[in-house]
Amino acid sequence: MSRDLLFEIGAEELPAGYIPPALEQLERGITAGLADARLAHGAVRTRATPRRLALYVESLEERQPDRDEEVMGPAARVAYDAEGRPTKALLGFCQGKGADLADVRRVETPKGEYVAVTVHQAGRPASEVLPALLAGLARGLTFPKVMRWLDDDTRFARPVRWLVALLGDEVLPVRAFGLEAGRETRGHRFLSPAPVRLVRAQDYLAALEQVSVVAAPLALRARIAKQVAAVAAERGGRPVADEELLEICSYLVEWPTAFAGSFDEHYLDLPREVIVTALREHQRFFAVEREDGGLLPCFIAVRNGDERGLDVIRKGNEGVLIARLEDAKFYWEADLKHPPAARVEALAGVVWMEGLGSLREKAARLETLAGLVAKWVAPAAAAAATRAALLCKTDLLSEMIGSGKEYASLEGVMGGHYARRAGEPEDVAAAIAEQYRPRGPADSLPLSDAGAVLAIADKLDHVAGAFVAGKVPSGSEDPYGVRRAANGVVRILVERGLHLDLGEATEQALAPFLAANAALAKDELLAKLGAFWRERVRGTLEERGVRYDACEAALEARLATESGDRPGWCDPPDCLRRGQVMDVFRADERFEPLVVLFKRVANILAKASETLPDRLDPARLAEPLEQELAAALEQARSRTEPLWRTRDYEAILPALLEMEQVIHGFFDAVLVNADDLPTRLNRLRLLSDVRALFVRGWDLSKIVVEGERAQ
Amino acid sequence: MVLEPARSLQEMMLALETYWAERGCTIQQPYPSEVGAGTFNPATFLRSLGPEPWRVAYVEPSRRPKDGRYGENPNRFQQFFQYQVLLKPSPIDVVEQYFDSLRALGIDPAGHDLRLVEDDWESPTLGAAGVGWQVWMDGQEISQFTYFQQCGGIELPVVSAELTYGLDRIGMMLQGTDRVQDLVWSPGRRDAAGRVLAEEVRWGDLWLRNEWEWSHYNFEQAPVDALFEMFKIWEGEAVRLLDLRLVNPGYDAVIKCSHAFNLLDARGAISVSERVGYIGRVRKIARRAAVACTKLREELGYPLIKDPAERAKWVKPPAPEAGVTGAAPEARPAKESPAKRGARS
Repeated sequence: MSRDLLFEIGAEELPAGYIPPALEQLERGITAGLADARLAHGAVRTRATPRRLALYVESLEERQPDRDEEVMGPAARVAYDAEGRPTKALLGFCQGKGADLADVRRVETPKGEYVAVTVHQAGRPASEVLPALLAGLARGLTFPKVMRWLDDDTRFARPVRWLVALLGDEVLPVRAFGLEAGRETRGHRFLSPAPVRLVRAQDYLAALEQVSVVAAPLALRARIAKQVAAVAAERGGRPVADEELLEICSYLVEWPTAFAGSFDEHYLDLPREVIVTALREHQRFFAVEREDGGLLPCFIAVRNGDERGLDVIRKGNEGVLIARLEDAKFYWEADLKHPPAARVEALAGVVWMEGLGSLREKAARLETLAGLVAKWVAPAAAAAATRAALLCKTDLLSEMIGSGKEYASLEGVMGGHYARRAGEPEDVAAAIAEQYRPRGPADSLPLSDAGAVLAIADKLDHVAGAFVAGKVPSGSEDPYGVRRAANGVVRILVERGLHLDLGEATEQALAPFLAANAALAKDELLAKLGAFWRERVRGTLEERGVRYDACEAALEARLATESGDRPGWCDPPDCLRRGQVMDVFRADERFEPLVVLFKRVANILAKASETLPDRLDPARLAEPLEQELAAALEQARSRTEPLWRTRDYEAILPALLEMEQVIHGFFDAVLVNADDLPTRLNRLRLLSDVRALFVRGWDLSKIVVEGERAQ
Repeated sequence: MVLEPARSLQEMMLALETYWAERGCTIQQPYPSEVGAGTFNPATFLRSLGPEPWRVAYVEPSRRPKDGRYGENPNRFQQFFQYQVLLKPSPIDVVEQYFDSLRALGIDPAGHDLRLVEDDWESPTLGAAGVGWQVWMDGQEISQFTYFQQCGGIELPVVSAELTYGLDRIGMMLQGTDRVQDLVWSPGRRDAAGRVLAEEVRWGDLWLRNEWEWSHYNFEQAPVDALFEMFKIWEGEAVRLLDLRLVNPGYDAVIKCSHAFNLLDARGAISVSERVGYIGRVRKIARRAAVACTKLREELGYPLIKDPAERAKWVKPPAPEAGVTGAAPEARPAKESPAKRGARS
């Protein structure tokens, strides 16, 4: 027998941003709690409006299954005396478990012989188990900020005012927040204020719909999207797509009615982003665009209620918006009087990161760094990128960014507009506008080459500066967005396929800070930065599905570059390719022997403490099989050399594998640790050369093969 | 009393006074010294401390010297009118009571878009913080609704709900005017024969010249050197008076200090980097006042708690050796007070 479960936490208006994470917690919590309570169930669904968080569990078993449990008692030697008679300890144990002496068994355990009984546990009804489970779940919810409203330590995002807990048609006596759950929920605050009695759990959504509440977030979102599109169409346009705004709106209203309002056409002279932000950030309005993408002088709002009073509501909202657009227009016109180039020197008055000088100094660093990055990855964009680097922070001095808090998100974008208006070349303006991209994992990358160069340079400087200033992210804390910046660099490199040497770039980014402050510990900073970037690259590989050990193998490679050996993470797109190829190759039957072989080589080398000769001495290769290995290595080298250069890793691995038999043969026939020291060192040199060839792409000792973990 | 739609500002005030009086509020009056908001009035700041129950409502003309625009801006002025309500402890239906009060103003909630928009209020000078909302009507902010969590840096043992209405803004919306100058303050009166007994009076008639004069004073005439001196004097007085357990005069000095700071700020006499320091100094004496008040009320045995069960919860049995001491030099958060611990056990 099973019934549906409804649990609703009724609260005063919750912040929209708090709702989705709370629903996730509820869903995870109930799933784990029911599994723990051995209660089988069907689908788990979450429901929410600003005034409620709810769980709905389909077909919940009404009773836990019975269970026989083996309960261990005292050690046998304690349970029975010398004559084999039960001791007090055993009798006490039996009494405690309600078991008969006759049922006691002896069992062997690693710790010796013990006694045990089988206890039969009758399953408890769900209605007995659930109240504590649900109360604990509700009380355990966490929010970004909580409050008290009773004179005890009860905390929640906003005051909780009612609870509903129904298993089928039965009320579950859940007690929390000074309340006891019942079957009464509430309708829309103004359209249907009387309490609503729910007969059965499954009536929930339909009963709420009757009292002007849409409690299924996705359904509400779809309804809002449809209304907004319809209203936009009446105005001859379509809403500017904004999934995030749709989601926010779906947690701001219980009963949506979309309506349009207008603003004067002359505000359309403002940059599009400014208008969209003015509409969206504070008022949560949708912008409307024509087929050709141009904005229309209107907005769409979603009110919490029905059609009543729309004219008054429209007028009120238009009034607020006009005040905002007036402010924006004031900022914009004031800002156009100051071309970015004329503001560069004023950047000296703005502190960048505590103790790291001004934005003027940052601009100077970026000019140099952007020049270098361009040289490495996009030489043609060098001129635009360096010009953009000099100008890119000047919009922080503008009224729009400096005074209008709600436009802070347009940092960079505004700089691009001001540059364009001041007659800077388009590629310079575009690069300025794109400098902060990507702002997060969901944001798009810079489109232009100069934009990509500037974005990389800005973030390299940000990361290096943060480490110099000690603003290093720790745990989940990253107030300066250092991880986000670094992830952005890795993403740009990977998705654009840019082979930039992150190690070299980090050194160059750090150089001006070191030059400015002799007291800085260069090697320590470089080591920390290296470890940090390695982690960012590893994260990127794992996100893209590379197995953890293949990640390590690719990260720990030693790349052969013109400037010498570099760690494998220094070239993120290359590192990703190597990791992916390794994962594909895993299915090959030659894979495991290769790894085993490599580890054997690596182990012998790890044990050798002597300094190896710089090069192999072919004349000392006496044994046929060592000569054979040297020849095979030479052949593998010459075969793979062009492949390394073209990064044809799919072809490299099989080519390296050709050495497999020879290496095995070498180990079988040749004694590496020969008594003669020069011979031994020469053989170790040979193995080291073999290892080095693999390590150009992968450190195979990081690979975990089947059966190995158990050892 | 429910008003007709186009009502004067004074009728709105009367309607709110009646509404909240009927819900048990003591109707108090504005504080007779310059305050930036109704929260500064000791009827809110000091009474929100400790466990004593308290319901109060009053109009508070609030001074924000920096916001003055010589009476030229239709939305910005250096003096505005708040209607302030404090309900302690916060009733279970406090949100419903608030919306009902809008009905008393003639606002039909179903005919407007009324929203509770997340906004966690904080007053850095008072060391006060709370959780709550801005109330929006048709996209405009008309009220602030806050569950006090902290006051004077002290975690509050009993949570108050503070409702603050922006009377000027609501009046403008209800009268359908975009200019505060046109806001009808008193409706005028005619006798039975239709003869004018009193003309209608508008906001402009009352305050336009006042705004110009005060803006002039706040931005151009306020004596900077003397104000710096006054800030110091009142800061010292606050400490001295509070040490003497003269809580109300001591807190009054905090208010005067805060206003001196606001004037200096309007005069542009305080740089951005100094600003934080001055706010911190006001907060420090505000906290001192809060601590002194909390301690004093406890020593007085919480006279506003009349209910015997509540008294038993909060009032310590008299300890013979507990003499009445003078200063409360060290802050002691109320949540750690013996009374509170007693309540939990």
